[in-house]
Amino acid sequence: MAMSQKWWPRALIGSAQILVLVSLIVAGVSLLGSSTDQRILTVFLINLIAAIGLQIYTGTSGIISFGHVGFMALGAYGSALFTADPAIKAMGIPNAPDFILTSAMGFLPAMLIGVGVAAIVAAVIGRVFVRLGGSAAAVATLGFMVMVFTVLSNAEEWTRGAKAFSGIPAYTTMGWCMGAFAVILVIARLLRESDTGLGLRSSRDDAIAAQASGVDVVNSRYVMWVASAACSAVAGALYAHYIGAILPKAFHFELTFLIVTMVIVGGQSITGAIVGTLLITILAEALRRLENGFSLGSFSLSEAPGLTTAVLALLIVFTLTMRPQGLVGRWELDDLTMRWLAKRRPAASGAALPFEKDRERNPAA
Amino acid sequence: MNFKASDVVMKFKGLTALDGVSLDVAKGEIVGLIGPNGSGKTTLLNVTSGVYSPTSGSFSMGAESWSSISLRDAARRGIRRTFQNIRLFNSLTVLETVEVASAWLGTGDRRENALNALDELHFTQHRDRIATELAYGMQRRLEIARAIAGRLEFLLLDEPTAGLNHGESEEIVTIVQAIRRRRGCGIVIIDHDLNVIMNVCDRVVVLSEGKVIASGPPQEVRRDPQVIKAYLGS
Repeated sequence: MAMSQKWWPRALIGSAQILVLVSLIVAGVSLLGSSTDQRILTVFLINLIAAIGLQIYTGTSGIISFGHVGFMALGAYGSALFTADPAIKAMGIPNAPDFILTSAMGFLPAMLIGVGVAAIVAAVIGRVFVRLGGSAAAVATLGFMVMVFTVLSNAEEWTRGAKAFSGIPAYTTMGWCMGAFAVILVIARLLRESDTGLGLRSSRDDAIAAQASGVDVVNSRYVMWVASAACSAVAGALYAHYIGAILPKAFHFELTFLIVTMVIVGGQSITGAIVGTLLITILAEALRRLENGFSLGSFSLSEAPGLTTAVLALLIVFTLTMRPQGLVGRWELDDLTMRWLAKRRPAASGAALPFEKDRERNPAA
Repeated sequence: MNFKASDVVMKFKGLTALDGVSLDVAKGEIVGLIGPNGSGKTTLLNVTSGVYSPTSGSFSMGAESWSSISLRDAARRGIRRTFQNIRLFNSLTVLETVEVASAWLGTGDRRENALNALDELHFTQHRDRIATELAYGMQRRLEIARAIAGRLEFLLLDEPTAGLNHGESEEIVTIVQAIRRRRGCGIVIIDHDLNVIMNVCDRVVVLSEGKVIASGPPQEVRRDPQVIKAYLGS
């Protein structure tokens, strides 16, 4: 056919569009924003990577995971342990094995170790986890997150337990964040549009029809699960090297809740994860200021702790009842621009024909 | 490849849905499967395509034979089907829907194969629309497009004209004949519209209460007293 085209260029075009938009935000904030704004921006980019990481699995399989923050923790500790100054480690974790105590690696190799650990753990538990759906998957992944938390809190010889592990070199710059974001964005889009991703998305809608079309649902989920865990670990490593000190509590319910909200509110696509992250970041910042107390006319509140969490919870409830597919649903930015263009040139494309009202007919009648 | 099901029994708890059914379909042959409601037509399709494992019986196609098969393995052997209650993907576009099958069951470029399958079903437009937003008749056609994309040896159509008007049914008949001509596959078609069955089938098999009660050319089966009693006359 004349209009034969490959599937992957669209994934690259879509990634490029998003990259341009995010770069504009980054450039704007870097040039005009205060140092607080730039801190928010860095955390935004790290959360963006975490949300895309989760979306690689959730967006294609339709299965929510509350466990990905556990992979972030593995990435963070993996990278932190191998980069921190040996002198600091000799004081903080004197009983750790030698290969950790003596190691003073650069950022990239250490990050890859963290990512590798997360990927291996994901590969081991994934064989079971990818067979679960719905509430079973939610409970199991939540259990995994809690297990990682518990292990890190008790592995005192390696992690200082529940106490902060500090002295992590501040390697995370805007350049690293943007670089990692760009790479993971492209990987996520290519995975999503690949045969595996397409098949998995079809199985989310109808597993029987997908299998009858040859889709290997379990193995497709497995591929996405491992890739998704690895990308989450990158976010964890960036976080550790940005904050400089980490503790297991940082990778617990609060962060899980935040990332999951971003993905659910945003939608099923990679673009959705980005829209969700942007929205939640702005909202969370606004709310955080209110949490410290505010006054409205004669009404004043000295403190409102937990306001952010409460609003996020309401947002999830609102999304799941009013718009379960999320803000952007299944669409990517490039889909939306193509459809918008097609609508502006009605004669040029079949996609632009006026919406044909579905005929209500009952096959059984 | 010739398809053969031998002595297939399917029991659901106390109910015997198929009671020793055998069915041969030659390469390029179109066989109509008719019978009253509950006679086991869809169950036969379901065990053939791997939705259920039969209680007993065996199947063979070409050199391969099996007693039970998964949906996916059946599809990989080229046994493809549509569904009576349409099963489309509600977040995929028309083109993506067909691409799923051409990606997983085809060789070569998945998009090109999908576009060819859509052309075969006269889907000249609407390719970027969400599959489940299409008009009902087009959804039926899209199911067939998905079923013929990628490897196709044996096609099972479960009531492809249900809910369609006369013109749309005629179009399905033309399409089914064209698929046989181009692909040379065996086709089994279940339909309640006897005009469709009589027009398109080389042979008709009549099921009643899980048993084959008649089999032969359409005109002959139509005159069979047992068939008239069990089905046509009612």
